[in-house]
Amino acid sequence: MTWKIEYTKTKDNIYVGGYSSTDAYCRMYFSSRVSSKIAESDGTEHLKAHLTEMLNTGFDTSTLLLQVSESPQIKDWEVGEAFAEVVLEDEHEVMFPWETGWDKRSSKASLPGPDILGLQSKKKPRFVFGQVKSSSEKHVPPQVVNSGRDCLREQMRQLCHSFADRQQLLEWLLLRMKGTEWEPVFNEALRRYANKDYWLSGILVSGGRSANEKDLSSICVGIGHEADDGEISLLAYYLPFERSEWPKLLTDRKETL
Amino acid sequence: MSAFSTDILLEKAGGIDALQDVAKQAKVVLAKTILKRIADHNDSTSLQLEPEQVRRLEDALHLSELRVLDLSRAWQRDSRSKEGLELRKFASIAFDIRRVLLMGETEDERVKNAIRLAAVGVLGDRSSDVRRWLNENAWTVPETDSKRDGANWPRLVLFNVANAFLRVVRKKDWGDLNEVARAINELRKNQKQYEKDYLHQENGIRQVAAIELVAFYQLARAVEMLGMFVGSGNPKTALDDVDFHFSRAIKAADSAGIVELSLLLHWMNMASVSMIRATVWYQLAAYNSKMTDFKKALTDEKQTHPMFELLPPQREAIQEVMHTGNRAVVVEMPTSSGKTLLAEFRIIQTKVNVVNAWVVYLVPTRALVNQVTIRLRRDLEPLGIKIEQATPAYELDGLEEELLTAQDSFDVLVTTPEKLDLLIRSDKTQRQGKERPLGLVILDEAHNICDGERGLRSELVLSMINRESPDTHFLLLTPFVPNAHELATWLDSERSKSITPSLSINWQPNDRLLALVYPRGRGSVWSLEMKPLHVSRPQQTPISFDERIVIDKERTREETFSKAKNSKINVAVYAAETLSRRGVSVVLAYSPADCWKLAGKLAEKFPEKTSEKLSLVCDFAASEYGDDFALCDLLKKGVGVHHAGISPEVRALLEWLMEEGEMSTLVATSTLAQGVNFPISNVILSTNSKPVKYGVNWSREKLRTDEFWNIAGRAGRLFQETLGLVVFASQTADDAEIEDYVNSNVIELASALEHMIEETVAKGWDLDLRRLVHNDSKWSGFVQYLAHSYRKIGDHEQFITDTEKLLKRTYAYHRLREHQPEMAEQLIESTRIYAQQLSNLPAGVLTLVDSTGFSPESIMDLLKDKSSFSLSAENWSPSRLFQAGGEAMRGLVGTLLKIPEMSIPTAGSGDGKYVADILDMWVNGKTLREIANRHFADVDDIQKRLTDCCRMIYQTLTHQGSWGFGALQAMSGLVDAEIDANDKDAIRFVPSMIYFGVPTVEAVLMRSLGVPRSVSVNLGEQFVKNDNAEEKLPRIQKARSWLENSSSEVWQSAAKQAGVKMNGKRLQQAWRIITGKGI
Repeated sequence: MTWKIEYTKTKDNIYVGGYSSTDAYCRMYFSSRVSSKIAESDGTEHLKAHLTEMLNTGFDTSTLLLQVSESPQIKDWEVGEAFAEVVLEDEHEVMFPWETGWDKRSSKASLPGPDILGLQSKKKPRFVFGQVKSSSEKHVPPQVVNSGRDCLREQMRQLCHSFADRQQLLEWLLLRMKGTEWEPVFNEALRRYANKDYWLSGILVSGGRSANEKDLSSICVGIGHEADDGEISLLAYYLPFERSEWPKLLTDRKETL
Repeated sequence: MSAFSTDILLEKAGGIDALQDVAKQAKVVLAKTILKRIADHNDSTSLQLEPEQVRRLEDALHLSELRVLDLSRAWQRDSRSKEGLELRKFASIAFDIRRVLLMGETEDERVKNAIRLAAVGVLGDRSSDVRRWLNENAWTVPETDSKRDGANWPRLVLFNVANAFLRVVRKKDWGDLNEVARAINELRKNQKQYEKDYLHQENGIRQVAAIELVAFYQLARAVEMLGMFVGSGNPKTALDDVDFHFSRAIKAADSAGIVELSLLLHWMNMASVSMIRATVWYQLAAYNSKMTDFKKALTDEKQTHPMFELLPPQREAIQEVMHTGNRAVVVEMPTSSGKTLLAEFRIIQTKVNVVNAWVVYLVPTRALVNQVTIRLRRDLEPLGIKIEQATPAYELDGLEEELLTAQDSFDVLVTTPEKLDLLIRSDKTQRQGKERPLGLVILDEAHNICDGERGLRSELVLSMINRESPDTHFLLLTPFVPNAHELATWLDSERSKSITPSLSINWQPNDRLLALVYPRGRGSVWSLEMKPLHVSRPQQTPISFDERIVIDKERTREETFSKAKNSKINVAVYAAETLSRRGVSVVLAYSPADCWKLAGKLAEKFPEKTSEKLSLVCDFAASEYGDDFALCDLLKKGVGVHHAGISPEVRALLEWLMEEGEMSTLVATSTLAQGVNFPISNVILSTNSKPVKYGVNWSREKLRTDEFWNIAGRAGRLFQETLGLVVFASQTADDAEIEDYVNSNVIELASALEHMIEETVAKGWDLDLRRLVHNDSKWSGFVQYLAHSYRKIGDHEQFITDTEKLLKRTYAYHRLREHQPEMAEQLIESTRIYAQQLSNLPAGVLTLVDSTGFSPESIMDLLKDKSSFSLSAENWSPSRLFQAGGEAMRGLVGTLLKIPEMSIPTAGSGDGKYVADILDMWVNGKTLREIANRHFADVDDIQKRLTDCCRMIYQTLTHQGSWGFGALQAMSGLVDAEIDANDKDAIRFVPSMIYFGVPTVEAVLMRSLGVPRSVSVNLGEQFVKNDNAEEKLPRIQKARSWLENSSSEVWQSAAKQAGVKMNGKRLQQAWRIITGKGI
């Protein structure tokens, strides 16, 4: 996949990079890679299975069953997340050995957390923790980047400084990886992590506007990253379509066929 | 040996030792916080931690928890595996650290952290600490209102489930468990209303919002079932069911990648499994219906502290305790770790296996007999198990004989070793040929076996039973001693077990801090400071750190600094004043005189308070001691004293006041401090010595190490006080002697007899038993054991052959053979020589040995002087005997004075008149005040006068007098004399009349049931009038039910007739309190 580098710099110990591509390429990317990622992460089958086991709980399942039969609408931010994942896989050697489908990022979420959790590079594996923001805002930088409690800057700062948050991710990974083929890879990544070798990645998926370095560089200082403690990158992908179009683009493939 | 992912991280951090160090640091933070709260007079002050310190704590916490998760699978497979034990340790570390870190800035964080804290606490065997934490801190989960909070449905669900989960962890009472069901049902009710909108808004193609809810609902069901099982033991499949729902919840959370929830689920899952396994239901699942009844009784709604789960040491010990293949079991557990409950389980087991067996529960002091009886009755009577106490009076009276020989009259007898010795030796427990098997002997505080005469008596009575009754089982309960296994193998070399809970060896009911307390300053401006002491015990190490802490800030005071530190008593007073800010304290004093002094000074510092309960106790004390008895004034300030000069009844009332929270401080001497059974937060030592009697002289000795730790162990109890404080009043900022003292090792438990033999040999004397007995009455117990055995064996040659077998039964010989075989040989030889002497005794002497409790030598001496105690039957009758100024009484006392085993004090003319007169007054119902004024008139200070009088009577005369008179009766051959049955009855009761201080048989009956002396005679008369002679039950049982159903009018009329100042109804209340029935 060819992404054009719009800008790169290192500021306050953080690598900042902006990328874009052609309209045609993006469309194809959406209808193939992103679309299959979404299909992979369709939770409907899982939900169906879980619901059959809810028999003895004494809780009502009718509303939940509706979610199965009425297949919910794909939310645009879900598309943004899926896009971020595939781009990490394709461009940054990241692997996601387990089911992906992360916590919702809305303020109503009872258990918020990082959107991205993976491993980078099989040869020298290290942990990848990340946050994804989707936006179609014209403003530079977009509000999701620097404004509000849940903005990218705040989330990256959390990731950077809160050991407790990262700790939880490690705990969860430990439990998932134990006894599987991934265990040795996990152990290696853990060892590197203990030596402060890990990657934090903040991804902005921006729709319908041109690249601007200030979209990300403006928040570097606010994150407050120490040079020797893990590696941080802020990456922006500038798509030619508005955010509201993203769900539709997934099904374009069928149309073109 | 599979490696763990976290092995490298752990190694890098310095291993578990490094993490345990951090946990220790966390405990230090906790201790300092509590001390700061005392100094600041503020219960919510907290300590500011340096960021560096916080970082260190957090790092250690993270690693510990990661390690726990790493080990979790192995733990799930087998919680007793090496990994399982390691998991416990790391969880415990995590708990210590979480406890001192901030819980979070938002409500959500606090709730989740509370769950994590509870979970690691449970997994680390720190349930008591978690429960206390949940009690002492504000409830983290906010109240939810579905209308207000419904818009955020998952949050509402989380809060309700968290609330339920934490309630199960706390399980303070049924209120908590009922709340669980309520909270979960609340969710079900609200589900339809709030779920729809939420899903519509939040749920996307990944179905994360929907799947999250599924996980929550499975969680809710799991917690609901957990609550049900903990409360009722149903359903029996709970462990599997709960695990199933949790696994489904985790599966859902994982499939949607909801990390934080998945982890919380893992923690709660593990904790739930742990909790289920710890319940009484689960631990005792295999047992019969009586056990089920017991479990139900323990968890009953009406219990103040229902017991849903067993403590870690109990869990470890229970299977072995219940295993009837073990004939002799020694259980080593620290104070307040629930030994009594284990004994109760074993009692039930015994009764189920051998239905008509009886059980004996031995306690070291008379004070404890009453307490233990009350406890056992409360717990076991609902199961139909009857408990009686045998009065420690040496002689057996008619009531007891009735009780012991009547059909199914009792199941468990609570008594002292001395009394049991008599019962067994006089064969009274056999019944018309049909012997009732002694199923089980329980010896509580078994470590006292090394302690002087009493210890020796315990050892010998157990030896005797062991020899004569091979089917009897033994259960010994003791705090930690290095050689518990020796105690076990002594009693049965093959089928014995000593249980040292190795898994829970570091478990303790509370954290403890030992420290010196001393004043610091000059002139009238000074502060009170504390210096923690370092104690290097192998288990249950107290918290310590190298910093002096101010617990009472510097200020201008009434008394100068030099005056304050003038004596340890003074310092103790200030310490007690300061610590009265937190919970209840016991101050240890050397003697009754010191108790009064200390209590008096302390009382000056407190404000006066009044209450119904206080006035009840004051009135009672006043009726015995007079209005000016200092105790009343002290009580009004919330201070009490507890020593031998306080009658047993008043002491029982003081203990009640303390339990009811009406007293802030109790000043006590050491023997009593050991028997104290109520929650204490602080122990303050104004001394670490106790007075020890040798013959008629007193000497000052240090408290034995195990005695000290027994007292120190009282600080901080199971349901309250996270930190128990044990402080030594010190006049200086350092005290090397105390610092050494608290580090002295608990020595091996040896036999008292062993010590006696070693001492004798060390002095270069022969082990000539006859001569030894003449010189030192300590040996009397041992030769009596030999004499008894000689009588039982019946044949001299057989005795010689069986000498070693006989001696092997003693703990002394058991140890000597192992550690000093030549001395063991000597003992055999000496015993054989003694047997020769026994063979030359006239007929009947050996029987007298058993019925009097005197050595053969004493008996022989007495027989030479038979005229001095040979009274006619008439003169033995109470009405004649207890006439004031009676010659007969004086003569008898005079005789007793000459017997070496007796230790009756002499005074006045030295011929017994003094004691005889006191006994007269005592039996005829005079108050302590009256007796003190007449016979202790030479003591100026009224408090001392009353104290001395009370001590003389309760500590010496009642016991020695009843024993001695009973023995003399036995020697006069009255049993066989030709007397009218009723008269015989009255004569037999003479020793009990002396013991209880009343002149009639009915009054003795009342006294046996705890009725105060002042109304015993009159209530006794009432009972007799109302008694149905047709009913063929033992008198004492009939009297008990009559008393329990008696109206206050009956008491009032009895009190009026007796001319008692105190209102009869209130006397009845006092009686109910003393006998543990509560008002």
